[in-house]
Amino acid sequence: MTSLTAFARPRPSARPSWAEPPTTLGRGAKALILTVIVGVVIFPFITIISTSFASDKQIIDAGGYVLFPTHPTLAAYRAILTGGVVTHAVVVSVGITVVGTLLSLITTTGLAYALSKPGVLAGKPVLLGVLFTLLFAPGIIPTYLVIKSLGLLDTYWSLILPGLMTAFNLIVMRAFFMNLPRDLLDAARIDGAGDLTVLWRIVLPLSKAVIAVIGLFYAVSYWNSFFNALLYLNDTSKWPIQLVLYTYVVKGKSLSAEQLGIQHIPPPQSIQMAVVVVALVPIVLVYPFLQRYFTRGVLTGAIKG
Amino acid sequence: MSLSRSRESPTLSGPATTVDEPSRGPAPEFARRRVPLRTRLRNDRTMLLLMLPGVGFLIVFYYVPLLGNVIAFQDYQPFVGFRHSQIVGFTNFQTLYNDPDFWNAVRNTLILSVFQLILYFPAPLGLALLLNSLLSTNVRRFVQSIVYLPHFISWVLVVTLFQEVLGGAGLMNGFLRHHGMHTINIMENPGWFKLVVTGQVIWKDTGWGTIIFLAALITVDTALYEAAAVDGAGKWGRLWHVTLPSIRSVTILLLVLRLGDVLSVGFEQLLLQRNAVGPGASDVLDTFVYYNGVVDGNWSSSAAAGLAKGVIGAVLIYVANRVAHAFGEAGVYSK
Amino acid sequence: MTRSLQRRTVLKLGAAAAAVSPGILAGCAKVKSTNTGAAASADVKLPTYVPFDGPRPDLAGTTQGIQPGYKSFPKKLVQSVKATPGDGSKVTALTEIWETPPPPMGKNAYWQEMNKKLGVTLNLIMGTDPGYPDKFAAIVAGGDLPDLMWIPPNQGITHVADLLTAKFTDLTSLLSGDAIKEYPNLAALQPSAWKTAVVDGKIWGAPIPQGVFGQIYVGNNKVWDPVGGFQCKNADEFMSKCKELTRPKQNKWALEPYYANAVHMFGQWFGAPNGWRQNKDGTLTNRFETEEYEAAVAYAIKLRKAGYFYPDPNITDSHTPYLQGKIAAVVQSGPGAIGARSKDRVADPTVKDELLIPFGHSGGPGVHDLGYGSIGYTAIKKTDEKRVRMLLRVFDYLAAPFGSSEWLFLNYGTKGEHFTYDPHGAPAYTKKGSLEVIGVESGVSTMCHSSEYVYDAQYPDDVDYLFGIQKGLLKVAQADPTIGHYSDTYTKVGGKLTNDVYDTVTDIVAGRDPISALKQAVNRWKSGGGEAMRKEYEKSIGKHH
Repeated sequence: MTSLTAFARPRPSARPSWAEPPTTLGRGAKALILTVIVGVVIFPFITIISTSFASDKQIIDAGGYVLFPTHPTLAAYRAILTGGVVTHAVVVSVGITVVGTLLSLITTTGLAYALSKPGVLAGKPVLLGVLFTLLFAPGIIPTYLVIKSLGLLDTYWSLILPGLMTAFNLIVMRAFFMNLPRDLLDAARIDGAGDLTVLWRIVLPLSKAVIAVIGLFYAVSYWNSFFNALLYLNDTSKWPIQLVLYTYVVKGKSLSAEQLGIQHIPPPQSIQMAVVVVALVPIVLVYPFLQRYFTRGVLTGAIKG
Repeated sequence: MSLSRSRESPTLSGPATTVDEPSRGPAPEFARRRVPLRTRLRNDRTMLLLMLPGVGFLIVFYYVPLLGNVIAFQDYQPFVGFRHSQIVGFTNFQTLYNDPDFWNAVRNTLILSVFQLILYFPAPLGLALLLNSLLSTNVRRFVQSIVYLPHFISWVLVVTLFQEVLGGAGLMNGFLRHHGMHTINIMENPGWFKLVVTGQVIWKDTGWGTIIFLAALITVDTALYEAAAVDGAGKWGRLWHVTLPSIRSVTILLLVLRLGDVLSVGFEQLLLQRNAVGPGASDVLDTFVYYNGVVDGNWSSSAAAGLAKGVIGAVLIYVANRVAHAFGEAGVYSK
Repeated sequence: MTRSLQRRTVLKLGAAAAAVSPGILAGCAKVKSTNTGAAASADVKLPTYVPFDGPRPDLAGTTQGIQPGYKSFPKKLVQSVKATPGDGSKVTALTEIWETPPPPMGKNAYWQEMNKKLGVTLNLIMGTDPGYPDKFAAIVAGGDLPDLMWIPPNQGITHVADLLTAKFTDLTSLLSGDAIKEYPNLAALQPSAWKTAVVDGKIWGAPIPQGVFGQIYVGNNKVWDPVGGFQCKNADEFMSKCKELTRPKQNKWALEPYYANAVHMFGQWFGAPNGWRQNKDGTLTNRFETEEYEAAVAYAIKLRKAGYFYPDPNITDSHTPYLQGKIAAVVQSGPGAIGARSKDRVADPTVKDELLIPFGHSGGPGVHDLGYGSIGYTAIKKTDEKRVRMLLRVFDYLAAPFGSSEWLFLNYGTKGEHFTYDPHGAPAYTKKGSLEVIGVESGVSTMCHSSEYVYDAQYPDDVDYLFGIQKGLLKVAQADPTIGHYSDTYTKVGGKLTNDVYDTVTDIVAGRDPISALKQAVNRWKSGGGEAMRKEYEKSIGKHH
């Protein structure tokens, strides 16, 4: 008897009590859609990763991209990583990303929170001032002149400060703040909590998801800094990773170079793919940490009472 | 319990109208109309401090350089500078207005935007809903950690990948040729171009776009689902009555933001494919500006086009926001 | 890459590392325009040419443009610079690198040694592609110019004459005629290069030579040999060879799909002029207006309809499929073509790139459009004469020719540390060498280097081959009559107008427009500035002949 019951004991279900059991059709349809989506996305990545490990000969035989490297080699990665230039640039980029994301989050959260309180002094004009930035952009040269006049040329700050806050991120964060249960905030205020306390004790803990998301957006944008570096940095030792990696791709393929008669050996396909992989690694590492903010249940119970 | 979230309803902006009605009695606690400036300063001083970094940033790194757009009204030369470059008034704008290529670019831009709005915009939302409805966290985590990756591939690689599969010398046509069939050249066909481009955007950015929606979806109070189930709502009913309304404001917000950006539909992606389908089909405002402004170092022309873009975007955001208000939504800002 | 002023677009393009391929310039930059308004009146006296008295080449060069050929690395090197050029000061230079960045000066033994040899601390501001014009413009707008700035042609730097007069030093008195003899290595630069450093009747900088040849069809010999070789006698023969070669089922096509470049090549078989044709009565006709050009377009249409072009005009890199044999022939700029063999041998030693000597479409000789002659020049910002002379001496060192000890150091570094000699007696990098030298050398040689040469110790037969090709090309060469003359309109709208015509040509060949669209495009070109350009050039030429 016991063995039977052991058999029959139902596994704990992830299904919440209020949801119905899934139908086979529903499950099947979902599975199909998801498989297609994942497949369509993964297939090129497998190609990219495989090509980065493939031997030059195999690449030429296969016509450019291989699906499975028969004689895997680390040559491409070695070519990129020796010499310390790439590793140094990674350190630079990590520094910029961490510092930048932190500063951006502080700035954006502060402003978003302030603007989310209805009727706050200067709220409307500031909000419109932010919205305005969605439409018009300052030019490269004027921005350069501002950076120069602040003495920030050829410094890391020139990679952080110009992009410190974006209107999109601000508006999204503000919208999330405004969607928080009004009664909770009002209750706290009635209890005598000041704006800062409300922010620290209530708003932030409830906004982990949006802060994670906006933080991710900023981090990605700092990690990808490219054009700012090109424009503001003179010292190549300050170059961030995207710029350095980019030169591996441009080497020998630049049409301007071709037009100007500068001759180089075109980089093998494997190096180009290795460059893509190296640029992706940090994001792939960071993203899973943020994923747990996207699971349900963060809010349950928070509002009761 | 109501199934729709209370959102920015009139109560929050304060019953300001009541101040005009003397018979109402003393002004309610949150009426702001008559509060003197000094009091407001005192009340909001923390908030103002919190605003400071952001506003400071905006002024120094946005509004000050923005003044540089004055070159749209000049014949700007970098070595002459802003102050001394000759002023030409609206000539740069007129040149744009008279250029049929400019209007071709505007038309392509708008058409492409509409395509992307209809086909691309719902995609991340749909995928997010799908992921949200998954029971197995493992599957969901797995899909989530894959599906955002294409966002990080450069357009060069994306176009190349599409070519490898769909191009004239790609896998698909190789297959057709092998079996003696007629080849289909999707990527060289100007008529199909806008669909192809939208398809590329969907492939590249859907996964990334789900992130925001997922973040919105998890803020939905599960107690609402429970209540709905109790009320007899099935899977689709809950979707319609709980999930969608809960993320309605975020969705509309994103929509309005997207509309403000409607004239930026891509640059590199389109530049890369210009040769295959011709500028008639592929030229959008940003590529037009590139060929007209940048190639000859014509900074003034680029600035003029940028200003024109901004004005159109402003009109669109304003209109879209009003429409949102008409539906009772907060939109991007409230009147 | 963006040069649009939209910040968002800039950030979007900042994406992943394999970001911007130069393919996006395919539409405009693929075809080299030969004018930039590099102006000279024939009145200015170019620097006297004094050839380098160094190791004798195996195949002697000529002043018409044949580059000297060396089949082995010279055993005895000549010291071309007698004294250290610099005065110990700091020199900043804006240049572009085409390689991966080198370790910074503090960690770079080669760089430090170079500073010692130059006698200055050379700080290089390294631009990359794309982005150089933006950086250039920003630096100019900022007002704080570096000592030296590389000024390339065709990169959107406009109003050059005014810019130079305002911010840079007029070097005419220091370099014209025999004055150049003070800088022997600069005197060894070919006159065809010096022409391009003259704007508005004055000499503004040291040119960076790149040989006289223009665009050439380069063919993969492994593909063309089975059908009778790359050289042809007439257009029909070329077409039938293409037909034999094109086997889509085996992924093989004849020509790369950049139609505007192809039409340029075909134009040379129909006798289209190089840029402009000078008529007997002194007027100028632009090549777009000629029947020959139209005939070239019609020929291209025939080839495209027959399917001989690779079917994906989007490809950003035609060279890799070329090496694989997927594309049989690609168009390369002159110097690129001359250097093609040695470059491609590294990737695949069995490939022997063939260069096509233009033939007449119905037999007889064709014409070869000569190229620009340099990649621009490096100008010196306004400063006192003593410093200018010092900087010219630095240029003199940097322009040390092949066969000099300075050349060896500049390109390979210190013996033992950065390079060793291989069994052929040719220098080869050590690991440290390829790390430290290549990046710096790329930046330095972009701003200044010696005249072109052909050197291949590993495959000396290639040197003979290229010599023969150069002779064949020069026999049918034609120059652009407007080079050396200035057109204000050209600098303002020339690039855009040319691009517009190329766009139409691409549309026509692709079949999106009928060939009658060419005449309309030419009319637009004329009214958009073409007529003005014509008048300006005619005036300038008439004045000086």
